[in-house]
Amino acid sequence: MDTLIFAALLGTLYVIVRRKSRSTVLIAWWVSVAATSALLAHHITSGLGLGLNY
Amino acid sequence: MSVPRIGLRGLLGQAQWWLAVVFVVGWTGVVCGGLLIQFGEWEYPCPLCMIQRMFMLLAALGGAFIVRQGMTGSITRRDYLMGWGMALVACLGGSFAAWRQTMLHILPHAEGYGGTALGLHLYVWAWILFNAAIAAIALLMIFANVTADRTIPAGHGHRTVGMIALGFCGLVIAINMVAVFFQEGFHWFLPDDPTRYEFFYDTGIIG
Repeated sequence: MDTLIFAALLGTLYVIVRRKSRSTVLIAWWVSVAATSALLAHHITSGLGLGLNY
Repeated sequence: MSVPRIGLRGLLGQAQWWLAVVFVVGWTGVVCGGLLIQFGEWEYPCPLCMIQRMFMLLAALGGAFIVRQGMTGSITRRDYLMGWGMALVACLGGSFAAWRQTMLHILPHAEGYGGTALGLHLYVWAWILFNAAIAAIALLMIFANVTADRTIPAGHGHRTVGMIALGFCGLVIAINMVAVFFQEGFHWFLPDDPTRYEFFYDTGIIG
């Protein structure tokens, strides 16, 4: 999955350099963000709730 | 051919475009530093390290959008806002990932993951840099009235500088893509504590 995300980043840079429409740039970029966030969620194996008592 | 003079006010007006160049080169340079440690000291980046690299490059792409638009000679407010918005979202994501990794190793006597630079682990530096970048964008936005000109001179090497910055970014993304492919091999995810380049074992080249 990491390889695919870097490929998506490269693809996003390509559409920026080629001056494709803003929508195309944003779609490519948000897809990359979503995939990176999903990967982050996968690797966070514990909960963020600290179980504190007051 | 006479070269038009640019006054102090003109230079200040280009500040956001130049910060975008610094953003692209800076974040790409930080990822380059990670590659240097990966191959120079032969360390294996962990999954969270790779995710921080991704967020750094996503932030760089926000800057890259502004740089590319400015290379045409004109840039709109919408372009500035879209690019910096992309950079801010990526910096927030990266800051969270770096904070999370820092918190994993915060207990007294914890050794942390990987080597250090200037006494701090790379993920701690990443956390600092992501937040510093957010502050830098905020500062320029506060002064957007004088730092966001809608014309960027086509001369003065702007186009060359922009092309070099974008090329550098593309090269480093490509190197990361190849490196992580060899590290991950034919698996969906990196192991929590990588110890080898899986591709060479998956294909039987080693072992």
